[in-house]
Amino acid sequence: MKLKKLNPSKKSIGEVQNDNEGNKFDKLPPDAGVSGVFPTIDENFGFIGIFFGNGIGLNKRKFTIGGGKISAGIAYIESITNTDSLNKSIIAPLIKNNINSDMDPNDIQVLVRTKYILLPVISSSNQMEQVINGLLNGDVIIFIDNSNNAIIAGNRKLEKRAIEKPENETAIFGSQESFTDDLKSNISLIIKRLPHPNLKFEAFTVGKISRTQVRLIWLEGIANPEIIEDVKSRIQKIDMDIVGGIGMLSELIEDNPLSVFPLYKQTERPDITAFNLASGFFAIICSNSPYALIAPTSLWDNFKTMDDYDEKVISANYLRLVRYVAFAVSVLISPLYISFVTYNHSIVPQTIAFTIASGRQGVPFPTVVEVLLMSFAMSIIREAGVRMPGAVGYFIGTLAAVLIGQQIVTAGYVSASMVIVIAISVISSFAISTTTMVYTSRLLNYFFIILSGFFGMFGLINGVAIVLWHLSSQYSFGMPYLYPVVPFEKEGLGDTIIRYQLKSLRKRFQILAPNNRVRVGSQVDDSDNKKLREE
Amino acid sequence: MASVNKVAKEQIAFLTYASACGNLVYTFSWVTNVTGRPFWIAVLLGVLANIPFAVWIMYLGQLYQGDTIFDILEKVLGKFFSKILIILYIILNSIIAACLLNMFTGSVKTFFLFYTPSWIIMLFIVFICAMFVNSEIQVLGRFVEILVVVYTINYFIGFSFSFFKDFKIQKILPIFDTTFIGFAKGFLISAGSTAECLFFLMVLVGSVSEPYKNSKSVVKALAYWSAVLSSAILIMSGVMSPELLSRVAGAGISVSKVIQVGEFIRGLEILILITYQLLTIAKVSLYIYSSWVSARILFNSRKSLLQLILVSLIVFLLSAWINSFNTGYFLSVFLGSYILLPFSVIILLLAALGTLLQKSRTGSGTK
Amino acid sequence: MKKKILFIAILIASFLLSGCWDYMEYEQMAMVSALGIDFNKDTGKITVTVQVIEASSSGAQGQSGDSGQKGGKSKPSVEVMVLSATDVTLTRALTEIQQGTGRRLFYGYQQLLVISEDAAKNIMDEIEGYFDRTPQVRSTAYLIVTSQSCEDVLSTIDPGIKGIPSENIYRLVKISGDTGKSSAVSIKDFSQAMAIGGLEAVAPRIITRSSQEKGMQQNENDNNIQHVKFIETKDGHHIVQGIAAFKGVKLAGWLDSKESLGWAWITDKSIKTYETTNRSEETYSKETIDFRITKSKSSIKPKFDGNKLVINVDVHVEATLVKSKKNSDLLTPDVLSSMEKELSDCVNGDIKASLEKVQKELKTDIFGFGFSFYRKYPKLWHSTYEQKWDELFPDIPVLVNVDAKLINTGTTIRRFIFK
Repeated sequence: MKLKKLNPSKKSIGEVQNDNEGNKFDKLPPDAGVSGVFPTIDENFGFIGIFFGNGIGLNKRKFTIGGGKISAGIAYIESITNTDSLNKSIIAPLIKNNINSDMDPNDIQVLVRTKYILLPVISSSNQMEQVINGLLNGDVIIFIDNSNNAIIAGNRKLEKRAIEKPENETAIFGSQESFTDDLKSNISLIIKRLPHPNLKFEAFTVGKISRTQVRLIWLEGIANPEIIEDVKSRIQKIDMDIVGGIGMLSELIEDNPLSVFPLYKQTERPDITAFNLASGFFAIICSNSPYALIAPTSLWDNFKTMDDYDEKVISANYLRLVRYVAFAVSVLISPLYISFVTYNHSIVPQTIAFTIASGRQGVPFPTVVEVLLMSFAMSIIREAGVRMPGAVGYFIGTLAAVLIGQQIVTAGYVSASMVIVIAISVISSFAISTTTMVYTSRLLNYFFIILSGFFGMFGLINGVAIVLWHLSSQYSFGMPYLYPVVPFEKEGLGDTIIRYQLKSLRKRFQILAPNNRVRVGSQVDDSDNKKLREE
Repeated sequence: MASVNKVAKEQIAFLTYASACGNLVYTFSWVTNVTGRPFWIAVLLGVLANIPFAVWIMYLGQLYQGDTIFDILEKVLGKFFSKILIILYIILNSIIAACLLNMFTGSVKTFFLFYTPSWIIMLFIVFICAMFVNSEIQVLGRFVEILVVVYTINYFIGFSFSFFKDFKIQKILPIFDTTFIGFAKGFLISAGSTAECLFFLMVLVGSVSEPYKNSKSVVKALAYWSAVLSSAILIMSGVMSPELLSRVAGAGISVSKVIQVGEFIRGLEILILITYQLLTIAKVSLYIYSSWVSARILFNSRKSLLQLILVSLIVFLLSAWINSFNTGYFLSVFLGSYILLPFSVIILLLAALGTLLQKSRTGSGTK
Repeated sequence: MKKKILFIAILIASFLLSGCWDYMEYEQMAMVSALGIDFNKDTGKITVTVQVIEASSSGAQGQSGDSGQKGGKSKPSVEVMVLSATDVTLTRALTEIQQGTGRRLFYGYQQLLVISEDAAKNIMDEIEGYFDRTPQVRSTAYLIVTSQSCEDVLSTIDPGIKGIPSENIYRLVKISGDTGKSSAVSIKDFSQAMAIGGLEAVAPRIITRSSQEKGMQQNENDNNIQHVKFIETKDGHHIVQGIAAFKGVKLAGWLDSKESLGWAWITDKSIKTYETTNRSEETYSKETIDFRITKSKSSIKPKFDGNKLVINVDVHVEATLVKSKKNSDLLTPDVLSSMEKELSDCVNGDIKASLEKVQKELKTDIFGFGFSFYRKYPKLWHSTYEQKWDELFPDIPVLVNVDAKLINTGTTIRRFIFK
């Protein structure tokens, strides 16, 4: 298929070099003249000027250092470099200090690098590729005339948000900080909650073009080393051009991307992350993404919130049970309605049967079709409400309520009882704490509706069996998805469906922390720390 | 992580339990017919009577770690003979599966889905069971575990509503009103029908590490099942009187139909359907699994998916051919009375004798 | 992975093969709320009468509904349609009725099964067999017997009661168990009583009084053409009073209210009703005492007095005083015990009347004496008594022992004295 003929522009913006295969982005073209840094500043400047073009904001400046005898040049990309410290830490010391101009330029470069530049991250290189990469990272490049080594000084300043309240996971009593898009801030948020020497970070870079920085975080000695090794190998195997955020990363490393159930947990709250790290889970954060991935998860983790641990035990358990019931209701109520109204009528008490039957007078659609249409309409409305900005979203809500809730029923297109059932189902699905589970419950709901529409209760039970089997066969990073309940572990039940008092959460899960299970009490294994202190 | 070819410890108990809940939940009304009032005691004892055989299987499995009974047979009796036995085993397995499926389909058709053709119901169940079986034994074990818990609890929920209203001790109390022969017959039928668990254990023992040490779980599972079943049918006979109970076929469902608390709670037979359906799904999966594993031994593990499809097809076609609740019922009673237990005992004897012969021949100890 | 998708795809494809055979919407069903069976001895034909109810949403029509509602949907009201058909067998008659309605008959909400006297005398075993075998009819539906025709019973609607007419009768039957004038018997109870040896079945009796004797709509002479009759509903009332006693599968006879009360005393039905002593008094007399029974319990104990079988019936009654006698001023324990004696005499009288009727006239063991005997002496029952029970039953001496206790005398210790 050919592209429509496009008009080539008259003015050439800058020549971007191609290599023989037309590959522009992967590496520097091999025939870039030399693969190394040019000796003169002008050649270097010329090269990088042509390479980057004039749109990216590349600034180049040439000046003399060391009392006016030696030429040096700096280059940086303006939008990602901290221009304040540029003056203070690079230009000022270079100009002020005297340098013996008789020295070999390479030695000058070493001298400048080690003594005069006041920035912490400094390296040097004679490869143009690293210079280019450095520039893209926001570093400042310092060329010394006649030296083949360029100094790469780390001086990044990336635009970032301040730390804000979590938008999607509200907690009434918990901390109101949430992760931001900046990797460093996120790391700081975690470290300040777990300032223990066993907290380990490991860095990876994924995505060929996006070069996303990824950090794997775990508590050494608590987390299961096998799981950690497995995760590391999975991250290293990622082969993708752009990894836009945690979501995409998770999909690339998870066990079964096609499952409707979430096999990992995404959270934007650092307190949950810290809590889970201490329980033996691991976390992954990456740059440009305000979410952290926590794994391995079980089905029950999707119903926990941080509020559970901040509130009183019994109230917290009650709320958790409410969530479970809400999930069950949202998934099962419309299929049950369908099977009771069309297949297995005898369970419906007579008065209710009358109400439903009289409501259905004059309705043109069969019940199954009604339910499917209304469910789908609800999904469309929800999606519209989410995507539309503020005021329009409210308008849609009102419109939906009036239009669907009242007029359709009055006009006789659908029956009132069915609208009630669907509304209950949709509202219950929002009571679940994890957003991904909301979508899961909608999908399961459709699945069950179809099954019960064909076979009634028989089909519904078969559907439930299929879902149960699917759940039993899922693994989340090596942990069976239904963990403490099905491969039964009595001590793990302390925080599964309901939670015990914090004092009674004695042990961590077997699979997660096989070596360091005891959480509270005198048997807590703090031996690593002791060794550190003694040293 | 433990090898997924071995079953976890608690799963042994659940799998044994699930394999014992089979045809007897439908055919116990025949025991009522034959024995009269103390039929629940006959059932209790009959289920317990299978425990020694189960432990025997575990013991044999201990001698040959990681082998099913059929592997053992192959080793001691030679390929030809054992192949015949495996074929017989698969045929018997399929027939019992067909009986159970027929009885379930019959109940569903009588009480719930009147006009749906039976073969669709059977096909649906066989299909999803085949899908479930096509995974590791640990996954199957987990799945069966969940099903067992759900349907055992559910079994009693339905009855508990009627317990306080309709349960009359007079319907139970003169208990020992029967002849010895009647009681013995009832006992034999229960013991024979529960021999299905032996059939499954013969295959499971290959996936258990240290079978003999884990035989306690097996004993516990069978004991629980006998307690559960006998108390359930005791409650049923209290609600419905043994005379009526001996007339009905889908007993649990009939009993649940009777429950009506006030004007609101009625029609609870649908809850009992959950029990029977999950029980059937679990049991048919186990039947297909055991036939499949033995078929793999037969064909030397070539193209195992094809064998799975073949085995499921056999079950489905057999049950569609029988296609009648009554035939399934009486066939199952017949099999339970005369064939299942003796067949298992013969296989175990052959395996044990063969092992003894081998040991005396080679003069060395166990592997 | 691919296998899983394949499996799921085949599963979904198999749905396209199905045709939803059992799919039944509410609009497609005709809810049967009561079924009546008549039998004509002369022609040997069974008449089946069916009361079908429909939910309608408009407020003005129907037997019972609010009129004058504007707009929207009002509370659902009930429309009643009564049909009957006559044919040789039960199922053929039901088929004809099905032909008369455009919808499938649905028995899930059936609450009543009305049997006429002739049917109870002749075809009860078939009826019982049919309903026992048909799971669509709930076995918790009540069985009632009438000496009139089922068509009358089912087409008589009480105009003052809103709601489903058969539910009204259902409640009447249920309450009658409390008063002891009758007893609520469901199909399941009936089958059980029939199956248990040593116990005979009973069923409550319903008496219908209709205001307009409008009668049938069409001629009933035409026996050759099979047709369904649409019966017009008429106003009237129902009373549930007395029980019908069966012997085996045949109706043996009727018990009136007093005898039913006696039966209820003997068979340990919990009775909450009013009792009056000296019921032979025709006019209001200050001599009568009124009680309200709060608890009643009885047990049947068979015993061998030498070689002879004697049945002991122990009845324990607790009551509250409602109206006391003229002469009693202070309610001292002596006075109380004399009142208790009068109460126990009263209960005794009921029981005796019932025993008299049942043993001597009807000769059927509806009390369950045989069953109690079997529970105590099972071997004897099986060996000798079971076969002979029908002959022995009318002559078995029954010793009744009533223990009445006056629990509450209200809040008074003295009678209310007007000053």
